[in-house]
Amino acid sequence: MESGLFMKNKSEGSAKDIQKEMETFLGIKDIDELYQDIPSSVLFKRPLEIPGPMSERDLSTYIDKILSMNQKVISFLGGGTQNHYIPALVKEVITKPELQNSYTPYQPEVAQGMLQGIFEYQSLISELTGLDVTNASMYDWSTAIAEALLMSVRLLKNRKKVLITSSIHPDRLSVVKNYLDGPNIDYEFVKIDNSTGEIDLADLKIKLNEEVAAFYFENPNCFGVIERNAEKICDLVHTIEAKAIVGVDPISLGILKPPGKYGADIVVGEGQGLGIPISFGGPHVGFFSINYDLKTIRQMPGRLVGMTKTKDGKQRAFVLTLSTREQHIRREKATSNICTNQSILAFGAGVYMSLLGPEGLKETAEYCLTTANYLSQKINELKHFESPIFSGSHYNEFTVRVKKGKIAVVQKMLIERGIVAGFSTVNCHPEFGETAIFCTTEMHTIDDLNKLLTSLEEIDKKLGGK
Amino acid sequence: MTQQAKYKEPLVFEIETTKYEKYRPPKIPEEVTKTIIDSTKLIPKEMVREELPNLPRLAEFQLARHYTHLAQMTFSVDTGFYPLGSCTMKYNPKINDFISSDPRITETHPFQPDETVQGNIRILYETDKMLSELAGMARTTLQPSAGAQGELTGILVIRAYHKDQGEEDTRTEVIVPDSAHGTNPATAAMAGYRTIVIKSKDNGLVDLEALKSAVSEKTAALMLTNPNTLGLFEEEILEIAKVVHDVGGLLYYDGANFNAIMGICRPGDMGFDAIHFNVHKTLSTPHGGGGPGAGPVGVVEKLVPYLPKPLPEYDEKNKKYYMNFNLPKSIGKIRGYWGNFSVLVRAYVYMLTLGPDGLKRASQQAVLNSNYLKKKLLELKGWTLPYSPKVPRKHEFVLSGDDLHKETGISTLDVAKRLLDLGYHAPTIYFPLIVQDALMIEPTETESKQTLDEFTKAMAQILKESRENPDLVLNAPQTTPITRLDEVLAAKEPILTWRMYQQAKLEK
Amino acid sequence: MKIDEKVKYAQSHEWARKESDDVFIVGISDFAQSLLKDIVYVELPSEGTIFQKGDKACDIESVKAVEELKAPLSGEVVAVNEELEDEAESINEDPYGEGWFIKIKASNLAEYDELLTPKEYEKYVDSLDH
Repeated sequence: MESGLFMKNKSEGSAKDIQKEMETFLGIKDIDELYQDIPSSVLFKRPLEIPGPMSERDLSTYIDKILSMNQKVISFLGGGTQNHYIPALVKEVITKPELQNSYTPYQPEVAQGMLQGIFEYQSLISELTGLDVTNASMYDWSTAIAEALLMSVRLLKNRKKVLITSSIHPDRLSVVKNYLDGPNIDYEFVKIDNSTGEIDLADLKIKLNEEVAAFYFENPNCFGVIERNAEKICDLVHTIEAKAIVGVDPISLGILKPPGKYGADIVVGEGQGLGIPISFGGPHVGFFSINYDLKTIRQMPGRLVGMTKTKDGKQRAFVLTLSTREQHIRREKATSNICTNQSILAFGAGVYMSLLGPEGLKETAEYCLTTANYLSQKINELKHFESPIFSGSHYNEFTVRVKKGKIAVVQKMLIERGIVAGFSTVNCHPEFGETAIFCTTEMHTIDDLNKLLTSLEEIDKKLGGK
Repeated sequence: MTQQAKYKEPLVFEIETTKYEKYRPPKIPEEVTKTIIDSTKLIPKEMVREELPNLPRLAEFQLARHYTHLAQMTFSVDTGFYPLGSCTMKYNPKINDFISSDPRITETHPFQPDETVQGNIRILYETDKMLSELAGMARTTLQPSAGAQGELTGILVIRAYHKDQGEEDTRTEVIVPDSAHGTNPATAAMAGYRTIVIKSKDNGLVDLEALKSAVSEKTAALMLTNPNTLGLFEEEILEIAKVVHDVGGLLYYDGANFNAIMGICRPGDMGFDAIHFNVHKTLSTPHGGGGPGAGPVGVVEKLVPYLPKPLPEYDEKNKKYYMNFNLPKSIGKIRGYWGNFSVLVRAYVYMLTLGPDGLKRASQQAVLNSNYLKKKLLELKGWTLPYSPKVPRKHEFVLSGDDLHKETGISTLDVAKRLLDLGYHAPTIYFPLIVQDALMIEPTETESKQTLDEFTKAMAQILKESRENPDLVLNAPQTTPITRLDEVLAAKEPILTWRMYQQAKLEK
Repeated sequence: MKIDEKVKYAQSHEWARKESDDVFIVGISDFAQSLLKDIVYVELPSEGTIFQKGDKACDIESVKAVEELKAPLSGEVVAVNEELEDEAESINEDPYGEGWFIKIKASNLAEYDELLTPKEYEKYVDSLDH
């Protein structure tokens, strides 16, 4: 009989035997000997007080019980992260183990797939924003804003101040403040016109001076208002040679003018809407675009995938490039704080943009735009509600103010009906009264919209009854 | 020799469109279109997009094939061994993926009222507790998106503490050893501190005397990894902690090497005041080709008030979980919303799967594998082990290819590239900076003895080739989809997007 | 390692060559460029900038590292080598000639005397751990 026909099952060997083999090879009796250099007073002598171990089945049941404590709701929340439809292909691609379980592509020869996917993402975002270069991703929108402001200050060496729109979302603002603190950068808010909701150009003019390195505004802003004067704003910022930084919604760029066309120097935003789930706030993918310039590119944070050739010149290839900007190379000379980023999600956003195509993106954006304006209009017909509170044009977010009583009470009543209604601005913008910001997307069916409207009608009646 | 699939894969922009139906977004409900008659009036004319964006128009089947090809040209933990020092490329269990994709996680919005997301908050709360126990800390913030951001958070918390003591202006320096990962001094610089670098001793450990000379009332913190980047445990850690604490400074732990010590010793017991975890290293969450990860930061009791808000809490009386924003001394937020939640769920599931004994065994096995591989490779007599060669390493070790380079002209880079031909990912190379021609190797616990033996055989082959047939190594890799590429060209004439590519072609 | 006999050196690997009474041409040594390898980009100061000896004058970027050129003499920048913008590789190819960085009008001629002679520099580099 040939030995090949009756091969021993190699995996039969006991794990304990293998361990013994390795210990013998090392000349030790016990793994503890490898920890002898740890001072005895430091050794942890009791078992860790954490639950487990659990079998897969037990784990599934355990987690299922915990997650069933969540309530299923219809949400009209936005605020930078929105519920958009995730196509099956996107889900499938980003869970491919070759992509998901790969390391940062520092050895490009075995990571051309990941590198090309990120190059495509960079390219596609640039097509949306209208600027030449996009990096390989930031953690999220808020840190992208912070890094954009810091970058502007570095580029305009003697200016230590930045201007920020007061129509920035409070969640993002809180993060930005922290990043400006370290390098001691001053910031001031530019007012919005309380009736239109748009940036107050007169206020901007007054505040722009030679101390200012950049002005950051959002388009649409956190109230959903589209900045009609975006080009004028960028022009004004350029009169003092400062940088115009705009925060945008990527899907809206299917129908709204790309910031590259109206003078933006840096464009940032949240790429989560491009096929990435909300996941209770993360992980998401911040995008960051600029125009290419030898000097400016050197100040850009984040990784960059570039196209090159093989040394023999025969093949096209992709590689992480301009890496000397990265913080782990610059060390104490570093200018930004990002190493691990959101790679696989950027890849996924690339899949989404490729799948939707220009028409798909446009139609999705139109769904968002029209349903939001529809809802707003309908809510405004109710006696005790006003929507929107601004006269400017709106994309897919809009404000709703309750004229009698508190918005918190309205929100509570809606929760009882399984609806999460809007983000209250009572704390961050008390000047606008009992108001909340609502958001609609292509995930809201007509039934969802009607459910909200019917519920608000009932609440409206109740408010009248008092 | 192993071979990755080789495709001359076009960019999505280069794939021809097809008549086949493309993706269809949902149609706007009739009721809406009846009410909003002219949607073009909704956008001010100044802001209307005049030209559609230049995105590809491809059918799903075309893209499915495209991405399958790209995946086939990407090495992953599921493909093979990554002996990458400092990265802890352990296996990413599928159950983590499965659970974190539950719609009750993916579809929840961070601004939903607490009562609608009790399950999520409970997961955050329990993860906080588990990580705090693992590290010997009082509380752990789950907000930071990655290790580097965790470091920044930790340093900002430390800064807030010093400010509260009235010492913001005096404490201006952060100390790091010369073996530190680049993100450490970078973080200190971002937070507005001056970095003081102290040289390691000949045995690779922190020089206590150098540290004593470097500390002063200006010291805000010392940033350390333990075991350090050479894989050596800082035996004098308690003395080091005392030196820093005596001048009123704090100790920050870079958790990149935490995989060596889970359940065996805890940073909190060594005297550290703040630590960050790299969950995409130690706690098995996938690397995703560069991210996302998460970098939770644990702190001792006196630093808890400064942690980013909110913190998840449990109200015993009403039996409800809630997000606590009432933290008046908090540094605020360091990223949007509450953190990379679905990544944290993976880490949570991983810890539950292993339990207390499992986590300890993982570290022990990682250390055993590392020392085993180290000895096997040193037996080949090609590479050397600088710094304390007789002291056992922990989960990783750093070899030097300096002698081999001088003997054969083959550099560590060449060795790394030849390993790609043999089906392995290269180890970390040229780090830490204090080792010449460094090869930093970390097998992790999820590699079998068989893999380690075969890896040793591959390294033996490369050694033989270096001495007898160096061209094979110098010209490596040859079996990968592309051969060595021109990084100089990539940096000198950057082509970073399709637009720039089109522009470059025009200019030619 | 190439040593140019007509220049003097700083320990941080810059060289200075007298062009006229008080104007000196400045660059980096052959040893320095060999460590950096392929240089892809340099950032030069503007004409008129005043430096003290030892101040960072230029940023030098290769594929894997970034280094600084420190002013070997105090003075005012009177010229910069604009060719380097497109041809940073001339620093690698001809570090003492075409690869010059800036010209400084020295404010303290004694500093030039303090620089290392070619022999002293060669000895110094040999003593380094490389």
